[in-house]
Amino acid sequence: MGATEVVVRPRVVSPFQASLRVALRRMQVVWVGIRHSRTAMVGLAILVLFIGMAVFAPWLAPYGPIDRVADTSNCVPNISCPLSPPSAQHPLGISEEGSDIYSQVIWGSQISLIVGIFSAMVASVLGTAVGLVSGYMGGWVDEVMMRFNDVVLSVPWLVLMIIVAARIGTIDLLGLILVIGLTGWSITARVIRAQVLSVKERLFVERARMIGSSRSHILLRHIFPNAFPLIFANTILTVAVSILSEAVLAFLGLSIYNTVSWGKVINQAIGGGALVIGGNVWWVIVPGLCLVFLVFGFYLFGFALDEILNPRLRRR
Amino acid sequence: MRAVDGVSFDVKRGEVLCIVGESGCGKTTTGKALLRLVDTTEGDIFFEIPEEEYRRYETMRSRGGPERAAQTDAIRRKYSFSWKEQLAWDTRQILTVLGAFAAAFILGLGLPALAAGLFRAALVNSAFLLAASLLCGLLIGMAGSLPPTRISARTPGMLGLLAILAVNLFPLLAAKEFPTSLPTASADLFGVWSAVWGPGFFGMLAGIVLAPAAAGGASKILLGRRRETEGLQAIKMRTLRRRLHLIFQDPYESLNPKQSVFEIVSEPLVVNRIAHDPEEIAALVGQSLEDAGLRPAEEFVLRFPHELSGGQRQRVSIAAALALQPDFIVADEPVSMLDVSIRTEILQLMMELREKRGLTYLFITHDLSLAWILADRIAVMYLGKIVEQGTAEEVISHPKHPYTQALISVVPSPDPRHLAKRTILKGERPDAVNIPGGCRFHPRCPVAFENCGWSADEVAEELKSLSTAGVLPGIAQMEAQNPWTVALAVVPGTTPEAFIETFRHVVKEHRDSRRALKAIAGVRARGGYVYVKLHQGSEPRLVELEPGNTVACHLVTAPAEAPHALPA
Amino acid sequence: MLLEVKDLVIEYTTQSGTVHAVDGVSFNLDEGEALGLAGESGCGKTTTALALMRLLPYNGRIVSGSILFRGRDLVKVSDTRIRKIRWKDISIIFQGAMNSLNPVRNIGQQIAEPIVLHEAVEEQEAMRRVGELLELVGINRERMRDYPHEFSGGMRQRVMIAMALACNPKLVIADEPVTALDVMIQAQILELLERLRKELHLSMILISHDLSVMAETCEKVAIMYGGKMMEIGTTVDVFTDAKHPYTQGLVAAFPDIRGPRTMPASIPGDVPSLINPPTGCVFHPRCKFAFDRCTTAEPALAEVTPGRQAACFLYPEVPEVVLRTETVAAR
Repeated sequence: MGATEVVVRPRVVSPFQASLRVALRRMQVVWVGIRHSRTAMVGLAILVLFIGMAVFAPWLAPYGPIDRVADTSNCVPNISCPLSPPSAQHPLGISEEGSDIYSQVIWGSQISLIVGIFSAMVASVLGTAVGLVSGYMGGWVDEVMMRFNDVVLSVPWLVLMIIVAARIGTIDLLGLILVIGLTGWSITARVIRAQVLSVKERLFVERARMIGSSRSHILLRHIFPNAFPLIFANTILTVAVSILSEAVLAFLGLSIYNTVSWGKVINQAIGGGALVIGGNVWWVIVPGLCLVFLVFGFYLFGFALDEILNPRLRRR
Repeated sequence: MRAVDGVSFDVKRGEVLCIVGESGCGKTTTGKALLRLVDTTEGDIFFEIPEEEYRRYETMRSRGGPERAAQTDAIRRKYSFSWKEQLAWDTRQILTVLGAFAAAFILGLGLPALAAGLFRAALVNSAFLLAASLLCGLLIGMAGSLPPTRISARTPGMLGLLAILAVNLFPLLAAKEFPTSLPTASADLFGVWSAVWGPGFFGMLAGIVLAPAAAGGASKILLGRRRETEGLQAIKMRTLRRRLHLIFQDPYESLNPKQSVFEIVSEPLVVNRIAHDPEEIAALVGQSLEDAGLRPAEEFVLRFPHELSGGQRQRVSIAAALALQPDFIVADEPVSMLDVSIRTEILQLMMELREKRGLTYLFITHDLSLAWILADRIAVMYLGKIVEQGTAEEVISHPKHPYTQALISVVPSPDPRHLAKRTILKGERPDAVNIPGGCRFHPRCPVAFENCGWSADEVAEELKSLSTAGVLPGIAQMEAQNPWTVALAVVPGTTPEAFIETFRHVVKEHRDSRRALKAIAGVRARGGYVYVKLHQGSEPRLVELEPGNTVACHLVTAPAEAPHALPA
Repeated sequence: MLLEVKDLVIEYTTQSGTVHAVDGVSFNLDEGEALGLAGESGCGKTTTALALMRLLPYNGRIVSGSILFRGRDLVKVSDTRIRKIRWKDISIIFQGAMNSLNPVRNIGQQIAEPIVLHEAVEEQEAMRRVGELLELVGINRERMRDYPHEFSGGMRQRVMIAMALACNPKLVIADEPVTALDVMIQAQILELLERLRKELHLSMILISHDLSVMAETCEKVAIMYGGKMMEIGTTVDVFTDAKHPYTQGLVAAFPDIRGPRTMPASIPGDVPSLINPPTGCVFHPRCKFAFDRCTTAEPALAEVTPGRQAACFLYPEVPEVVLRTETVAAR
C-alpha cells in the first residue's frame, strides 16, 4: 500500500462547525424560497398581524378580557350597559356579562394562538414519534401501533375531545392544550409513517446500513431529516386545525374558564342574542372573521412552505 | 425463487473481476450479498483465506464424514462471512425466560403485598422490598441477556429501566385508581406512590436504585461472556464493514440530499467509531476527498449533493468508501448513469486507487465493452449461474459458451467499420420463477442439442407450432406424459404408422432450425397412440478447460456424469 | 428534402433564468434517410425533437428559426394544422415511453387511439389495423387485449413503436429508444427499426447519447453540444475522421470491444450551463485546441469537406455567427 503523507489541513472545519454552517445555509435557502412565493408572503403577513395582536394585546386592548366595564346599577342603556351595541367607547359593544367585546377579541387572539400552536406541537411530536418508530420498525411494532391508531381514529374526533374535556373538570390552559394535542395525533402519525416507509426504501438508506449505521442513527440522521419537511408543513396545518378545534370546544361551552378565546366570544354572542334581529351582529362576525383569517393564514403559509421544502429542491 | 444459484468465484488481491450479464441475471444480488445487504440462503463467502486452507477445505468437503465436517466448520468459522452462530431459541431457553419473567413479576407484586399484609414493621417491610427489587432486577437482567438478544452496549441500561418499571408500575396501577384529573395528577403522583408502599417506603426507594443495578450488572456479565464466545460474529461484521465496500450505480439517489458532503464522507468514520477527534475526522475527510479527485477539498465539504454534477457525486461516493480504507470494493455499474465523456475519468480514478491503495475490485456491469478494457478476469452470468469465466482476453476474444458468443456479437462498436455478424437471440430471458430445466440457456441457444435438457413440455410446444403452421398435420391431441415422453393421438383418417413416417421426415428437415427437435430420441406407435421419447439432458457444470478458464456447456465439455432424470 | 431545420433557437424560462436550450441549430433530412442526433445530457437534442412536433412544455418557446417539413414551415403553422400533422406525418417515440403506457387500458386500445383520432374509421377497422401493426413489430396479435404490465420492457418498446406507426407517418423520431434495455433486446429493437424503415420507406431521426448504437443504424449523424450543432456528416466519415475536437473526444471516449484493451480518452471539465453559456465557442473551455478567436467569436456550422459540416475555427472556411433576427415565437 503506497502511503501518502496525511497533511492536516486546518481549514477543513470540524464536524460540529460543519453541521452548524450547513444548518444555517439550509435555513437561508428556505427563507429565500419564502420570499419569492406570493402565497407564503401573504400567509406570513396575516400571521404576523395576528401574532402582533396577541403579543401587544395588553397595550392594544383598553380593558381586560373579563373585566366588568358596565355596572348594572348605573349604566347608560345602549351605551355602557351589558348587551349594548357598538358605540364610540366600546367599538364592538358590551357583552352580556358586561365586558368590552373589542378587548375580548384582542385578548382572544392570545388564547387561540397559544392553544393552537402548542397543542399542534404536542400532537405533532406524539404523531411524529409514533409515525417514525412505527414506519421504521415495521413488523409487530408497526401493527400494534397502527391498530391503536385506528382505534383513536375511528372515534369521531369531536366526540373524543368533548369526552376528555368534560372528564377533566375545570379547563385551564394546560388542560386545553393537552386535550387537543393528545387527541389529534393520529392523522399526523399516519402521514409521517407513510413518508418514512418511502424514505426507508431509498438507496442512501441502504448505503447507510451497509457502512454499519445503527438503526437509531439511520432513523435520526437519514429518515428524520428527509421526513422533516413534511413534518414541518404538517405541523403548520395542524395548527390551523387546532385553532378551529379550540373554537369548536369553546363554542360548545367547554372553554377556558379564566379568560376568553374567540370561540368563547362567539358562544356568548349567540347566547346573548347576536343573531337575533336587532341584536349585535358584530359580536359574532368580528371574532368569526378573525378565526377564518387566522386559519387561512396558516393554511397559506403551510401549503407554500410544503412546496418550498419538498422535492423541488431535488434538482439534478 | 433462486436469484443466484450456486455461484462460485474467487478474486485475488489486487485483481479486477468483472461480472457481466443482462438484467435479472443475478449479478447485482451477488454483489449485495457479498456486503451482506442481502441474506445468503446457502454458501460461504471466504475473506482473506490462504490458498492452502482453502484447498484443505475443498478436499475435506468432498470427502465428507463427521470429523471432516467439524474441521470444515472450523475453517468456515474462521474465514467465512456467512458463518452464522446458532442463535435460535430452543424450548428450554424459552421456558427459562418465561419462568424468569413470571417469577420477577410475582415477586415484584406479591412480595410487597405479602410483606404489607403479614408484617407491619417498617424495617421488615423495607428488607423484603429491597430483596424483592433486587431479585426482580436480577431475573430481568438474566432473562433479557439470553440469545437471541443482540449483544449491544445499551442492553444493560434498557434492562435496568425495564426493571424499575416492572417493580413500580404494576403495583401502582393495581393499588390505586388511575388519577382522574390529568392536570392535578402530577401533584398526586408522589402521594399515591408513597401510599402504596406505606411503611416500606424507604426500602422501596433503595430498591429502585438497586433493581436496575442488579439488572444491568447481570446483563453485562452475561453479555460479556456471550461476546467472548460468539464475538467472532460481531468482530467479523465490523471487519466486513471496514474492509469491504459497495459503490452504487445511481449517483443521484445514493447520497442523502439533506447531508452535506462532509457529513456523507465522515459518516462511516463516525458510525464505526474509528476516529473521535474532530481534527482527525476532518483530516481523514479532506484526505479522502482529495484522493477521490475533488480538489481542493475545502470547496466541496459544505456543498450538498444537488449542487454537484453526476461525476462529482460519484466521486463523493468513492471518497466515502475510501474513508474506511477498505481492501475490497464492489462497484455496481459505477458509471452507467454518467455522461460518456466523464466515465473514463471515474474509471481512471478507480484504477489509480487500485495502484495507490492496493484495492481489489469486483465490477458488476452489463456493458461488455467496459469489462473488456477494465477487467483482469470476467465471469459471465445468466439466470443466476456463471456460464463462463476466465481472463478477459479469453472470454472476449475466444468465447466458448454460446451465450457469451451471442452477447459479444451484439455489442455495438463506436466504429462503423467493425460490423460483426450479430447472433441475435430470439425471445427474452425467462422469468426467474420459471427457470428452464437442464441447461438454463437451452431454450434460446442457437446450437442446443439433445443433452441440454429439453423437457417434454418444450418439445410439445414445438410440435404444436409445427402443427399450426401446417407442416406437421395429423395431430388431434398431444400431452406431455412425463418429463421425457410426449404422447400423441392422431386424427381419424391417418394411422399412427403413417403419421410416424411424416413425423420422421419433418423432424429431419427441421432439426437445425427448431432445436427442440434435436431432443427426440425415438418415436413409437403403441395401442393406437404415438409416443415420442426424448433424450434426458442434464445441467452442465463449470469445467476448467485451461487453468483459470471455465465454461459450463455440454458442447464444450463432455458430461461429467451420466445424464440423470430431469427434475419433475 | 423532407425536413430542413434552419437556425432553430429554443428557450425555456425557469426560476433560475432563461435556459438557451437550442441556439441556432440547422440540419437536413432526406426521404428514407436515418439521421442520428447525438450528444450528451443537456445538449438540446430532446428539445429539438420536441420542437419538431411543437410539443415543447409550457415554459419553452421557439424564439426564431424555421422547420420546413415538405416545404411548409412548422414554426408558423396554426395550432389546428399542427395537430393534424402530429402523428399523421411525424410521430415520436418518447424517451422512457415504455414506462408511460396507461396501466388501466389494454395495449390494443392505446394503439388504436391515434388511429381513431386522426382518421374517421370505425372501431372494428381500427382494431384490424392494430392487429396488423402488432404483427409488424413482432408481437402476437392475440395479445391485443393484454395490459402493459403483462409485457416486458422490450415488448413494451415494440408497443410504442407500433403506436408511432399507427397513422403511417413519413418521419419517426425515436428519442433514446434502446437506452434502458439489455444489449440483446437492444439489438432486437434496432434490427426491428431497420427492417421497418426499409419496408415502410420511413425517414428516421434517432436520438441517443450512445454513439455505438448510432454507428450501427444511421447513415448520417449530427453531433450536438451545449445547444449547438458541432458536426454533421455521414456516420462512417464522422466516426473515423472526426473534424470537430468535441466529436474526436466523444468518439474516443467510447470503449470498443473489438478494439485494443486500452482505457478510452476523456474530455476534462463539465457540460456547460445553458443559462450562462460560455462566450464564443461553447466548447472552448474544454477544448485542447482552443485559441484566442474561440473565446470571443462563435463559429457557424459550415461545410469543411464535401458532405461534411463542422463548427470550428480550426477550419478557415468556417465563418462567425451573425446575430439572428427574432421571428414569430411559437411553442
